[in-house]
Amino acid sequence: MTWHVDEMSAKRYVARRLDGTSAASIESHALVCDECRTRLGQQVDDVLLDSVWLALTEALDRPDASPIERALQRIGCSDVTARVVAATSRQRWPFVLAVAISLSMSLVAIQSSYEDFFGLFLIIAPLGPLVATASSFGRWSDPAYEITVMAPTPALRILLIRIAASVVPAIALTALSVPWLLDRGWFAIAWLLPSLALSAGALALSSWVDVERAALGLGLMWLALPTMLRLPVARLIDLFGAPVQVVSAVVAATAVVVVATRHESFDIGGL
Amino acid sequence: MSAIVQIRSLSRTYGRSPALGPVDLDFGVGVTGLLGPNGAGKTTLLRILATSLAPSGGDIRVLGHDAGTPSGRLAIRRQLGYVPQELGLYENFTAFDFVDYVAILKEHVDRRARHDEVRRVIAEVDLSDVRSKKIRKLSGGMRRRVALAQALLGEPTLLVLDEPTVGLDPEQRLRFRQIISRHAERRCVVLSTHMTEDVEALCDRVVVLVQGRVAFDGTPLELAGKAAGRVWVGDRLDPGAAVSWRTGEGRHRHVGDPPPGAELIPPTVQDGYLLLNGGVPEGASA
Repeated sequence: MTWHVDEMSAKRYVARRLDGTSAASIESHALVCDECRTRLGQQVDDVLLDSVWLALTEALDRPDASPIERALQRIGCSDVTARVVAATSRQRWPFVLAVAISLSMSLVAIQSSYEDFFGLFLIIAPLGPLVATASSFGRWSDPAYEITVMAPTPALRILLIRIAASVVPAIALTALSVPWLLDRGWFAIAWLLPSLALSAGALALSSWVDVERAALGLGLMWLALPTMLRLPVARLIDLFGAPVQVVSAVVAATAVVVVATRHESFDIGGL
Repeated sequence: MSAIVQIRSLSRTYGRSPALGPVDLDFGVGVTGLLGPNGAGKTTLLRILATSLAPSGGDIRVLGHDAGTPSGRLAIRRQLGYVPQELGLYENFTAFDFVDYVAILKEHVDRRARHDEVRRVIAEVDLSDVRSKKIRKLSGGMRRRVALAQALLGEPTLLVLDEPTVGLDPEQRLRFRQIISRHAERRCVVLSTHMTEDVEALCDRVVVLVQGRVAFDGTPLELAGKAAGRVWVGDRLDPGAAVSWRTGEGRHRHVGDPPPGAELIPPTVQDGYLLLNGGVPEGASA
């Protein structure tokens, strides 16, 4: 060790009045010299030290945002909203699977030009957003459901944030099939209104029962609809005509009204 | 005792099966332990108290706020810390992230102040060294402490803990008792447990629930007193005893109606509970 930091330099360093080269030199020297480290430490104001230490702890503790969380923050979501969405990122796999199945069905329909597959695609496509709704926020899909529901933040707000964060991508992914189905005319998007009706219906029913049960019940009813109407697979497309579109729009609108009028029911977890 | 929680004619049914009540109870500052066999209604009562379950009948007030109204529930939730029986933690979060997430839900909006509060509660449960570890890598006892840390956020007036000592080793249980007793000096703590040792060591008051009804409400000493003159030891198993077990010293401990000349010993909370319940609690071997 050929040199030590003198008192004056130590004071100037702490006061940040040294030039960059001298400061860097002192810093690298202090790493290996106990005596100079002590001398520098004696010059540092306790308040400043505390604030630096706190800033350091804060930087170390700052939650490591997941890619989804970062993406949401980038598009303008608050860090609170982004965290609420990111908390249950694993629960998204069921709806990704459901969307993948419906997309596969659409691809088969395009490739085979076999009419039955297009009908099956239209029946299955609304299940993606419905599964997304079911896996958004509920007793079975969120491990911290009970802790979450008794927190002061309204459960409906969390439910709506999570549903928006899963249903919108589910619909967007399902819509990837549209460009290939344009030759079907407006039937290429005939699944959209039923999708919204089923998701909104499940949300409305979740003011009475768990959202998972509501979605399961509606999903089974939806799948049973062709049987109840005695529609063969070849005529499944008939189901998506104007009457069903109108009914879907009415169901979706009614569901929104139900959610608005029963919003207080959502804040009790185990009805 | 000034009541922080007032429960009147509270009941809950699941379908047609009655699970709780009607019960009338008041809870004030201090630790109240709920004892009872499985299915006695402990968790139901605590979930109603934590506003996560609606009662079928009756009233519940916390600090004067009516849990039956949305505004009352919101006011209660702002004063509440809750550890459910089933610990639901996000495995991919660190301990800090999880407690921070709950702090967000508990309306701690300012990030710096929130992080300070998160660090405070994590230090309180002695998890500072592992706060950056993923929850999936924490032991069962540490997970319990993470759950307790989130309940302590904001220094709640009412702390509701459903079987908080399950899975804790003796050292962790002692630490838990320390934390809870420190909190109970100024706050109301209601916890359920199967461990009569916890009640003896921690609670100023014990409520025994049997089939949804209050079978006993008093101090642990009074509960033990229920078995005064009804606990004895002998070298052989006494077939006349209601419950017997062989102790570590090789003698037989009996609870029930002692025969003449029996060697009576002072009763414990467990003895009183056994007689009250007419059965064997989890954790005791008959």
